[in-house]
Amino acid sequence: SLSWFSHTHNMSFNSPASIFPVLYSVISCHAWNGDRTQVAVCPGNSQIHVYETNGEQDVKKWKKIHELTDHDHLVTCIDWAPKTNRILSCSQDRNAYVWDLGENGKWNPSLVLLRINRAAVTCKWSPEENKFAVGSGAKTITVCYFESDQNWWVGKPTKKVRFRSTVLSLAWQPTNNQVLASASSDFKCRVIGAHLKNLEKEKIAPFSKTLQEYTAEGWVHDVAFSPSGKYLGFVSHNSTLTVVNMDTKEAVSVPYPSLPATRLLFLSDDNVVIAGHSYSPELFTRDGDNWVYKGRCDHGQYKAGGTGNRSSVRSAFMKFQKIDSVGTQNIGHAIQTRHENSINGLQVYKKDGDNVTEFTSCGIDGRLLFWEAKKCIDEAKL
Amino acid sequence: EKKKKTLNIMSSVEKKEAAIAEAQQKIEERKAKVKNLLGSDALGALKASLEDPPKVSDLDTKRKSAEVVGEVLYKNTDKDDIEKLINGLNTKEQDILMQYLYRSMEAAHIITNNDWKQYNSAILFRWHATLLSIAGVGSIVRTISNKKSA
Repeated sequence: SLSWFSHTHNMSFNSPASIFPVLYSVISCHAWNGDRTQVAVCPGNSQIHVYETNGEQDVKKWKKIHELTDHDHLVTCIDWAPKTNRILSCSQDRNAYVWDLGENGKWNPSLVLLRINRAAVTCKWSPEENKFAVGSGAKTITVCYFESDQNWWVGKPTKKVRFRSTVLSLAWQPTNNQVLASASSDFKCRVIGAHLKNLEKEKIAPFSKTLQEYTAEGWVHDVAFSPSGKYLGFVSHNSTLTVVNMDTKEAVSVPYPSLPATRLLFLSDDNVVIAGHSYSPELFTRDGDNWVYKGRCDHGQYKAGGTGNRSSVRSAFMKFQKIDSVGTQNIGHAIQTRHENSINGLQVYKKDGDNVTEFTSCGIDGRLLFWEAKKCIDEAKL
Repeated sequence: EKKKKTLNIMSSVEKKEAAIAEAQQKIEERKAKVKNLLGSDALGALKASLEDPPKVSDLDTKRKSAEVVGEVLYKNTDKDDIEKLINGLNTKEQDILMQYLYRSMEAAHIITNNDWKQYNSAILFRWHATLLSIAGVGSIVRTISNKKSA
């Protein structure tokens, strides 16, 4: 199918902006609270805006309730702990803050002592929310915990793990509070231990020990565990998804035909979506020990004022066939995906037990869009 | 001790030369295999030509390897044939074919030898366009990011 061509022919002046309203000019990251009634978004600057959505998917009906402005530079990552209701944010200003909701209804920041000399790029709360990890351009991961007698968050860098470049993404294994997977621009995905003796008695994964290491042929952009923790997936810049079976430690690399993805999200132990530079989530399904590329979830059927009918896709398909044989490029209507630029965030929105039923994506086109897992799985089969 | 050091340097050069010689030997074998299948089984010839790409970084070896693939590419020039053949390949073979297409388009050795009869860019681009529509831009991304490409 020629549906992946759409990235080359997206024209912003044909944009159906009225159908999918833009929240900002660019979004760098977003995070939902525990019951999915509020969302924290960074509009590509040093601020974090918190919206009350009340379950609405139309961004025009959202109400901005907070503006957190303590960071000095771009906020690179936000993570909202669902149980303890704390917001963790990290920024290119080499700082991270933990925000607590005070009695007066305002978010109070506590500075985290990271002691890094480069930008903080990614941050994630552990499953039990008593510690978190921050990945940075200083080629380290800093695991932070609350030092109660000094009343601040202290960071412990994983010195024994030799990263050769920026740590781009992190993921905690959901089953225990100690195994941490990292994605780095030194072409490697490393699974390391993050046990802290003042927090955990049982040592499952010793601190700063590299448990597993996998090499890719490009920057490893994002890493994620499946809901049960059985599978570990990472996307690399050579348009390949690699999934590791954590029981056998075997890795399976699956190449896909579109531009590289920068994010991935496991919908269950059998389905995973990736999203990135091809402007649309794409689905992979597990078949025994193999993972198979199923297709894009967004084939770009949306035109301004249209409801997305199949004949418009067919005529676009014919147009590309004609271009291929005639050799000219005369494109009147571009195939419009819902996102008009790269997707840089995927977050779980609704779950049914352990499986994800709805998820959201944010992109550098400034949109925050909702996706239904079942619809994505059906659409990708076309 | 100095003598030992010079001996070690020599052996690494010798190792490289041995690897190149071995790769070129394999290319000769592949060339013969492809020649046998070229008339009868087009898909078999294509698959055989894409087998076992040389892992040495010697440009001369890589170009010789691309010539073997070139023989199959120039034999099948009809658009429908090309589509059928590419659809018969698996994803890995399609990636290797994309790498060989870019290597064939380099044509540097043909320019230096001034032997233009060996090079037909129209056919190479026809293969490239069809392969692109089937394998997607991902195959080009993998060609660029692959350090040890064919």
